[in-house]
Parts: sequence; C-alpha cells; structure tokens
Amino acid sequence: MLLSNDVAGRDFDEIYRSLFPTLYRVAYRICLDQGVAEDVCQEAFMRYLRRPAPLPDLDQTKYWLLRVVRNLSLNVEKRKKRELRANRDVTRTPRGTREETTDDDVLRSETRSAVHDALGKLPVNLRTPLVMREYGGLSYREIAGVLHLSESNVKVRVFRARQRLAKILDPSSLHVS
Amino acid sequence: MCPDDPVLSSFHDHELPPGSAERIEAHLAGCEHCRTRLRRFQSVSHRLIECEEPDVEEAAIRVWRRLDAQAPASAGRLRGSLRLPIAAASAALAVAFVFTLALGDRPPALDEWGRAALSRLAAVPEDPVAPYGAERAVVMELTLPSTSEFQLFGAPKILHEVELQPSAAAPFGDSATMEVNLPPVSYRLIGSPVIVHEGELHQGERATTTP
Repeated sequence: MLLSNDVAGRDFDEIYRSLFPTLYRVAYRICLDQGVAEDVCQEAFMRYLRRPAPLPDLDQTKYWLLRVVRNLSLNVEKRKKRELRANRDVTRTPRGTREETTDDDVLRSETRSAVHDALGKLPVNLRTPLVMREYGGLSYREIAGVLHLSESNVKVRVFRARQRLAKILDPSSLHVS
Repeated sequence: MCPDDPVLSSFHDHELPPGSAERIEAHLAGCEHCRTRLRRFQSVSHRLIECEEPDVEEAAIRVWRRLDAQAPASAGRLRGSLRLPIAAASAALAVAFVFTLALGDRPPALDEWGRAALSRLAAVPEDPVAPYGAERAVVMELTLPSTSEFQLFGAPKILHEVELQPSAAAPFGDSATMEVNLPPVSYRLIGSPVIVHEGELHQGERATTTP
C-alpha cells in the first residue's frame, strides 16, 4: 500500500511528477514499446526507492534515473536481439521468401509511424544519445555524464544518429558535403 | 569555408560556444548550401518531436499504481500521491480521505479554493489511520464538485486541519456531512489513491455520499 507521509513523501511525489514524463519519453523512444517503457520506468523508480538515501538534488536524481532507464532499456534491446536470433534459427525461410509481408507486417506498418520505425533502425548506441537530446532535453554535457562518454563523443553520436535518420526518413535530401 | 556536419549539428543544438556560434550564423547568412544542410537537421528534429507518442499522463498513473502495489510498506520513501486529473465533465466523484488533525503546518498559498462536500465514513479502515494514530485522524469521504473544472491535482492527499478555511474550522464534529472549502491542489490520500465513481460504490461499503 502506498502511504502518504510527511516532507519526504512530498519529495517523492514531486520527483515522480517532475521526472516521469522525461524518463518515460526517453524509455519509450529507446525501447519503442509502450508497455516495455512503463516496465522500465517502474523498475527505475523502484530502484530509486530502494536506495538507502535520496540523491542530493533533482538534477542528480534525474541523471541517476536516466542511467537506470538506459541500462534497463539496453537489457531489453539485448533480449530482443537474442529472441530475434532464436526465432530466425527456428523459422529460417528459404531465400527469396523472407521479404514477403504478412498480415502482421501490414498491421505494424499501419500503426507505427515512419519516425518510430526509423528510430528502430538506429543502433542503440546512437539512438540513446539522440533520444536524450530530443526527448529528454539534455545537453551534451548532461548526456555525457549519464552515459559515461566524453562530450565530443556525444556530439558525434548525436550527429551520426541525425544523419542516419535523415537518410532513412528522406533519402532525397541526402547531402554530400 | 563551410563548417562540417557535426559542427552544424552542434549549432542546431545550441551547443557551440558563443564565438563559434556567431561565426556559423554569419556564414549561414551568406551560404545557401549550408542553410540547406542545417535544414536537414532541423527537419529531423521536427519530425521526431512531432511524432505521436503514448499518453504520458495515463502512463504515469498506471506506473504509479503499479509502484503502489509493488512497494513494500517499509520502503520509507515511497510516500505521497500523484496528480490525478479528473475530467471536468465527470459525475460526482467520491474519494476516501483521511484527515489528520496535525497542527503546525502552514496552509499552502493558493488563490483558488474549491468547495466539496464531506461525509464521515461508516467504517474507518485501520491501515490508513494507523501511522497517524486513530485518535488524531478522521476518515471522511469527499464528493467533488461535478460541474466546475475542478481538478484533483495531487489528490487525494492528507488534508491537514489548518489547510481548511476558517469557515470550516470545525469539520470534525459529530455531524455526518458537511461542506468545506478546500484548496484544489492540496489533498493527499492515505492509502492507495482510490478514486471511485459514485456509481461504483458498493452498498454498505461506504457511508452515503453527499450529492
């Protein structure tokens, strides 16, 4: 049971209200699945609650939670890849028939946006910093702190992610500089 | 000389130091080629932001409820309530409240107050009251206004006596029903944020709700 409490109670209330939207948007765009994103956020907040002491301020809490969300999302990604590999091994189809569309494919293409699919085509190491930038509103420095990367590395990854998305979303705009 | 793509991407993100950003701006003013390159990044960002996403507020409520169910009672810091907006057009809602008689807190600085009817619960649930002591808490049922755009932000919450307006200075008398002025954003529920539509109340489970 969720029990209300005193000042500490308001703290968590505020933390949840302040950070859930950002965490959820980031988790959703990394995992590309609503249910998984909710699971990831739930687990992240549970881990926060299990911490022996609160973090010093809201920013530090946000970075900590985003790191947990990123790690959990990566685990999901790895699991999806393993399952995909296993399915391919089991249901490997003869050459030439793999591109055939099924009813499920049609349904998916109808319900997913082009952007959603395009994000899914990005490797997660490019998708994550871009998502943190675009949906989390984090600066390069903040992303670097969360992902334990250098700022210049973040800059390059965000650029490469954008470049690939541009290629996928609008190949005609492809620019050769 | 035209800037390279990563620099333009950083410019787009406002991540260049002021001097560099000014140089890029000056260059862009006279270079259609680079403006086109920049527009490509802007277009990607625009499409990402415009992309439809699930309802974050609903997701927040679902996850909160799951946290509520999952969190151990001794978790210590999982306390509080969630902003649960209620549709303005919804029928009268009944919410289980626990009012504590804790004194000393200052009322929140709020400009707008809502009016709500309270009625004492027939049976006081033990769990929500226990942390405050049964002698210091009164469990009431709140019926929210059904016509205004009253939103139960943060509700339900513990409502301290001092948060009630003076006109309702004695809300814990013997009367079973009363009307009080409530700040619209300062409620806290003890226990799960159970928001029950009037029609969903089972007979005998709650005291009669005030229309």
